[in-house]
Amino acid sequence: MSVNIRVENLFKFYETVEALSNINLEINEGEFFVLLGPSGAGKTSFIKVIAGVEGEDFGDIYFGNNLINKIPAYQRNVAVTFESYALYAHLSVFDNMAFPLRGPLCKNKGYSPEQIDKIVHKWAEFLQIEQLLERLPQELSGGQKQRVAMGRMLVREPNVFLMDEPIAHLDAKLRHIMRAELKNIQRELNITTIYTTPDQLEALSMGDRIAIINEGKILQVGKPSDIFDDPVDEWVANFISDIPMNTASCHLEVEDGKYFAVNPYFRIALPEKQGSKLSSILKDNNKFDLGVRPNKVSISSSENKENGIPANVSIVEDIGRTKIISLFVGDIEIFSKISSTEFPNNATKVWIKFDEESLYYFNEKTKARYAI
Amino acid sequence: MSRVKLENVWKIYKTRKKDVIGVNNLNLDIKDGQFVALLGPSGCGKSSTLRMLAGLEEITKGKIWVGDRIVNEIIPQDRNIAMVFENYALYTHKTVFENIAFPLILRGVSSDEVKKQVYGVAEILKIVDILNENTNKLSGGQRQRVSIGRALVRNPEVLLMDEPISHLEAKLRAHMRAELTRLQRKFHRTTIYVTHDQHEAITMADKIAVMNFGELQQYDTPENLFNRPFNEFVAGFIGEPPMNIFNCNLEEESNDLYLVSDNFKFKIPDKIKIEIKEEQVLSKEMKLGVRAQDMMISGQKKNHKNISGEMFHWEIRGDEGIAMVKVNKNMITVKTPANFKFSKKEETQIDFDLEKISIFNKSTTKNICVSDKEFISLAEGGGSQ
Repeated sequence: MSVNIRVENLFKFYETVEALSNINLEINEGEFFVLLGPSGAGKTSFIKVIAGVEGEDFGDIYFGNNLINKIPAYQRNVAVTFESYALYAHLSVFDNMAFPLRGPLCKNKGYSPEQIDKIVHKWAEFLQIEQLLERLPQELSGGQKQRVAMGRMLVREPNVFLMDEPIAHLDAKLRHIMRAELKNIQRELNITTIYTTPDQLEALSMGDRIAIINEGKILQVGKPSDIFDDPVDEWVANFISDIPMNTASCHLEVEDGKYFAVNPYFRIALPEKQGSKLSSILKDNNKFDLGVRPNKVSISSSENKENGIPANVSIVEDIGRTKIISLFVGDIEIFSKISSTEFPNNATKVWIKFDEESLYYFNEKTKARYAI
Repeated sequence: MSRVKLENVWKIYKTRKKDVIGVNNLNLDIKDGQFVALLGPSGCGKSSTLRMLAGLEEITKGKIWVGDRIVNEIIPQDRNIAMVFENYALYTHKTVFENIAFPLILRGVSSDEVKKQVYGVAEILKIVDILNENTNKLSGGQRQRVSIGRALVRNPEVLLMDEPISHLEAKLRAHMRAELTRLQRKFHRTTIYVTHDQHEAITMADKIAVMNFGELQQYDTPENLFNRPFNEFVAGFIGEPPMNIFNCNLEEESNDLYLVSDNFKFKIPDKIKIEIKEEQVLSKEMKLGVRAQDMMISGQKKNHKNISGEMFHWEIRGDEGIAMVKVNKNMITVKTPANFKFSKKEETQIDFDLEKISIFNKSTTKNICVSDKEFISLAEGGGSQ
């Protein structure tokens, strides 16, 4: 039985430090919900409060229509996986998985050894670890351990999965496989899941929806593509992509009904619609931050009169068929991510161009994004 | 000149039961000012190599040259090599200034000169404003800069770095990568960098020595490693996602070479030169390697350069996507645009860019497009130039 989770005005303090600050979230039934933020953002505090291992200081948590603030952790029917797996090193895979069924809190359910055997085998088969049941954790690979930890969660048939950076420490290759695996297990079982990670790639690739958290506050909630395309501010725009968004502080100039973004190093024409809208928002204060993602910055070795900006190539990183190029326009660093074939060989002085349909505009002071 | 050269270097760890080979007859030629990464999984011998260079570990057999000296018998502090560690190893009770100044004070440099040099390094590292801070107040990135400062202030001939950023958070790591690369270009000091992260290696280094089980697998530029891996291990280790591998046979038909399996029959383009004598290769079992970037999911019908599979999973990564497709029992990965329409279990065709494939001999795992000459050059430490 999967449930939806509702969190209202949630606060959590550690002494005087505010770990969670007025969190309001609604997580749908069966949803894979990712909490994305840097370390110290409050992700683990949130998981602990939902699991019931730490109390909230203010606010309400509902599972379905039930207020669960006062319900102890073991009665909430949530399962938590940790980064360290926390398997019992002296117990076999079978006994690790059977542990929750034999535990004191299960007594009233009264599982017989035959029933336990059946349940463990059912989930071992589901996770494709049947052949490992007799082994000890030390004889397993990282991926296998993670699956056993999942198995130990699943035998209890929880209503809610809480996963706190479960794959952050695995190596890149394995992480790649585990992402797909965890997501497919969750899909198949359709259990409401809250998954925390500091890695934007995990969030984008796994989440049905993502909540961005920083300094205990939720900054934005939405589908991966919505957050990527429509970030609420500069911080989110940077955090959600692998290479930070390029930004430059500019002021708006109007000349013959045309709009220009100007700073000491360049002056580029803005599309008329965007320019006029920006102008009406900015009013007298004509300063703003111009943003563009690295994959929307093209490079050419010949002078580009129309909106081309001269730049010096600083570093070229080749990541296989794709190059990430760090360029300097005056003292502003601009990143460009382009297909290897589009980069002029050994160029040092180039002209770059921003794709005008992919420009972002931010408030110069608050860094909030203007909806244009 | 601080060219670093390893000649037939062995590291053998003696244990009670048996000898363990840490580094197996390694030859490596690192030019002055070059940034070289030692890359491989844990236990491949990369850290042993670095520690022998630094003098922290005895060289079992072979010679190590730094500049025009053999350093085998020279004690660590006289080798003029500086090392940066993953855990920074800063003195926590000292300020940033005192940390950076420490190696100079040990050498009895005058206090005016110390001040001048510390400020010089701090300026380049952009840490002038924190020189009087205590190190325990600094962020991870700042600490790493301080430890690099302490290494550079000695004006070493060679800089060694042992996974200096692998424990940092993803965001900070990306930032530090660019910063270290830029610093290295600026100081132009011969740098040897140990990492297990292929992404770090290919984005930072001029040349990469890929190691496995103590043996050098390939010593090459990032681009060549990606496009022309010498063997299946390198193909799997370099690149994200890992290269897709298909079992097949090499067959000849009216002077053309084909790769054949139950799923496909691909004609090998003329552009791919197979230099090993054909009679040695023919009708042998091979492995076809192709990168996710060199395949495309298309709506086309079955033809001579595609295979069919069943869509399993798709993930978006911001400006691009990755699809996982089941082909028979294998799971393969294919790059897609960000606006790709995924439907699970859908039958699909995958197009290959046959000009960018690699072919490995199944029994030796060697790339059959790489000539014997190149393998010999590898064994001599030059790699491809």
